[in-house]
Amino acid sequence: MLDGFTAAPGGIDGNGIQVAKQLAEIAAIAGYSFSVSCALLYIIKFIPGMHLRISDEAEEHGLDLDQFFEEQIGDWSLFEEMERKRHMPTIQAPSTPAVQELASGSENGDIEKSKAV
Amino acid sequence: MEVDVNLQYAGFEYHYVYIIFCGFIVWMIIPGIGLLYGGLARRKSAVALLFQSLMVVAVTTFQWIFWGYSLAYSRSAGPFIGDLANFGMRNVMVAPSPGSSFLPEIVFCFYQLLFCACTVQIVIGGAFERGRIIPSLIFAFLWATIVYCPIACWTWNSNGWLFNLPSLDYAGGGPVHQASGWSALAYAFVLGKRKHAGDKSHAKPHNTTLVFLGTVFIWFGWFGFNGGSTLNATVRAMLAAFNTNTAASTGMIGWVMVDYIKYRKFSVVGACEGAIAGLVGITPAAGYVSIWLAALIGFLTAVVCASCQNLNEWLHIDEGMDVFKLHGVGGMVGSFLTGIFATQSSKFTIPTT
Repeated sequence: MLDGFTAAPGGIDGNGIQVAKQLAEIAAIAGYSFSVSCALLYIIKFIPGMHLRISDEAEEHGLDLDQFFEEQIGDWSLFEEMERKRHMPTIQAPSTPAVQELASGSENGDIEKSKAV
Repeated sequence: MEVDVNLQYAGFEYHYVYIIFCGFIVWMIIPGIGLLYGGLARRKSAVALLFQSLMVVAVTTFQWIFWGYSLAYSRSAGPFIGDLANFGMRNVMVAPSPGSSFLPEIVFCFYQLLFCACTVQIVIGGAFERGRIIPSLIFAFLWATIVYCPIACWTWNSNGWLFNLPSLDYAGGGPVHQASGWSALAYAFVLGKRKHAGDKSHAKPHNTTLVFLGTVFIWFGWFGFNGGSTLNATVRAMLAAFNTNTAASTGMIGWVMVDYIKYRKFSVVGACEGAIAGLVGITPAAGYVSIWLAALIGFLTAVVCASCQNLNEWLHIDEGMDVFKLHGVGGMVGSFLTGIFATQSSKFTIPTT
């Protein structure tokens, strides 16, 4: 006994009953933890204000955007790039400059208008 | 009258110095799980998992000093749950701990606190990408109270019914891994599947580097987790630490082999999951088995877990962090193999002069 007092014989020591005892442990812990967790979660779910899930729309935009201040993983310039791509017309000739860039070259009124859109 | 409370440990201080450091090392598992789960999730939902990893520790620490420790480890506990004898850390200080007389109770309490924190954190992984934060923290408090503490009491309190059966659980195959795995499955089940399953990024880890880093922290933390679970600094603790590394290594080999046989390719995520499967498998056995059998346990656990690749589809539950696969299935395999391979053979005996 390595520490002088702990005896832990298993199947290879001829103590085959230990395997059955382990199975009893597995069944008890698995059953208890799964059923009690389910019950607990169903109770929490139906307490007002404690719904467990975010809305489907929020889920599409990500948990972080819904639950946190402006904190996301990744560089913010990434999001500006994505935003710009979203506003680009889908069909354009390869050599044509982006519509937004053209607008920014003209009068102030145009810029404000495009922002409002 | 003043009493030097350190006097009773004179000459044996190395036991509690070792265990408190094991506790500090176990703490590394906390950011490790945050990074691992954050890396496995999609980018747009990864901050939540980092946040939850630390918040859950905060909530669990409060739960533990409030009543958790007492419910799990009070000396006057029944076979199923403790009483409130140590409510609010009452009388928890210098006296020899219920787990080992080498340790002041405050060290024992701290070490077990980190076990509880890690376990709750694993459970919360089941809610990834769709669970709201506040209910998950409320759930963390309640889950620690009515699931973790009773099961820890069954398994490790000297009045617990599994302790006296006896079922062999060296460092938490039952209370930590099976309980967290099954509960994470329950969480994913109650939440329902994720929407937008058609997205290109669905079920793809957003950052493999984070997965790798998290696994590194977890592997390191496990040396404290298993190495300290003897609750003393005897040779058994040293063997447990050795076995931990061995099983993680063979687990990784096992999972990578399954991946390679199936796809003729490698996967960092697979290697990391393999290491964790090996670690989970050895947890209930680490201090009870010889080195080659530890290697076998790690290997077998990882092969079984890796072969359950489509488990979530079979169950129709969207539990994409693989918490149930690694901790639930792996924990059950590990506990079963512990029953077979645990030994007190003559090689394990300290020669008496």
